[in-house]
Amino acid sequence: MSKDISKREGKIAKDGTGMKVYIKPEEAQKAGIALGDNVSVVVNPDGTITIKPAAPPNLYEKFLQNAIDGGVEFGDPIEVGDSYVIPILTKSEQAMPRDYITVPEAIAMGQLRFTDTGGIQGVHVTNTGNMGVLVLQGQVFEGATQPRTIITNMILAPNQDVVLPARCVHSSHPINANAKMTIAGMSPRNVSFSLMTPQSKVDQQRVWGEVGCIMGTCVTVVKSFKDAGVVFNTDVWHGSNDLTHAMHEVGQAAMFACSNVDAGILRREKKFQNR
Amino acid sequence: MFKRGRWNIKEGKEIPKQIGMIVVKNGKLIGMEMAGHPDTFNAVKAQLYQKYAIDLASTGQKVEVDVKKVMTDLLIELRDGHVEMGDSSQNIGGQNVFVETPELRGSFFQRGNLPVFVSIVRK
Repeated sequence: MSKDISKREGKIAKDGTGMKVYIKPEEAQKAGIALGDNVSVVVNPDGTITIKPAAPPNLYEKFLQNAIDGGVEFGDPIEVGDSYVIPILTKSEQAMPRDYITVPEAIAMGQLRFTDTGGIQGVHVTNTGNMGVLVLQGQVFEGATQPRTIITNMILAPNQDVVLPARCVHSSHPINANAKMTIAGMSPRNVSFSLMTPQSKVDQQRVWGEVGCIMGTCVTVVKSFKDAGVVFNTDVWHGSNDLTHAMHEVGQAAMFACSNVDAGILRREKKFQNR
Repeated sequence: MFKRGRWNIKEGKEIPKQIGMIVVKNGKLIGMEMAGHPDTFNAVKAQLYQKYAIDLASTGQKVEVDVKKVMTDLLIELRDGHVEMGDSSQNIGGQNVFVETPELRGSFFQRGNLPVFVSIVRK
């Protein structure tokens, strides 16, 4: 323990129950601690202590255990290509009314306006309606400007005007400040993976890297369909970094094709190529 | 047991009471998406299929799926995950709670104790 008493700020509580540490409100705020929060305290070898917000309980564990124990129902697996999609069904006979709607619903109702902030990390949105709007992490917005993906889930309040935190998904496209934007869809799985972390940790370089990866996969997918003789009226080229093209053209065409083509054809074709 | 779906992502396929989906490839869960309300899922399902379109269209190893095993394996994987709250600036109208393991990441968006949207994806 440190012998420099002048640096110690903790005091033994008068009732003998432990040590009280006095922290200034501005210091607590910097550490992300608010009044009434649970915190974790670690005594360091040099006698100092580290106070930080306590790790939240693993609510995923409870959520998944509840699902396994029958909190939801699972539909029959649906075969899509070589994979399966399993529907999750609610057990409630009648759902409670929502006090929010989704972005596609809000756009259809004309209550959302998106514009480019002119900065790479933000999309300006105005909710002019009287319902909250759920924005999902990974949703992509495009227009006559650089497309962006939103990096957090949130519910916009009615009549709220806010800048949504975002990252670029087409690195070579210039930004056009104040350009109108609209929803293009959802980022592919691997791009979404790079976004699923606290905002301060979402790395733009990694997002671009994942866009590059999915474009490479698109090249392979398009080739395998074409080699198998499937009519595929779109293309993607090595080195492209245009994610919205992959989402709109390749993703939809591939999805449509794989739902109508026996996946065995693709596997047989692959074997043939490997001979 | 298995159905061959016609999954045109523009039209989707309406399943009554559906609130989510699990996507399994090579016998492993690669994604789980679940909304707190069937209307929410219905409104964004085409986008969610789009999220997995390239995964579904690319070839893999065909392994028959046991839903209970897939879910139990997922629970085991996530049990020791690192859980972190979203930054205060990103918790607008609800709270984001993230989980991370070497292979999986998840985002759990909730209001109060009610899940609004949960997404778990494999690397």
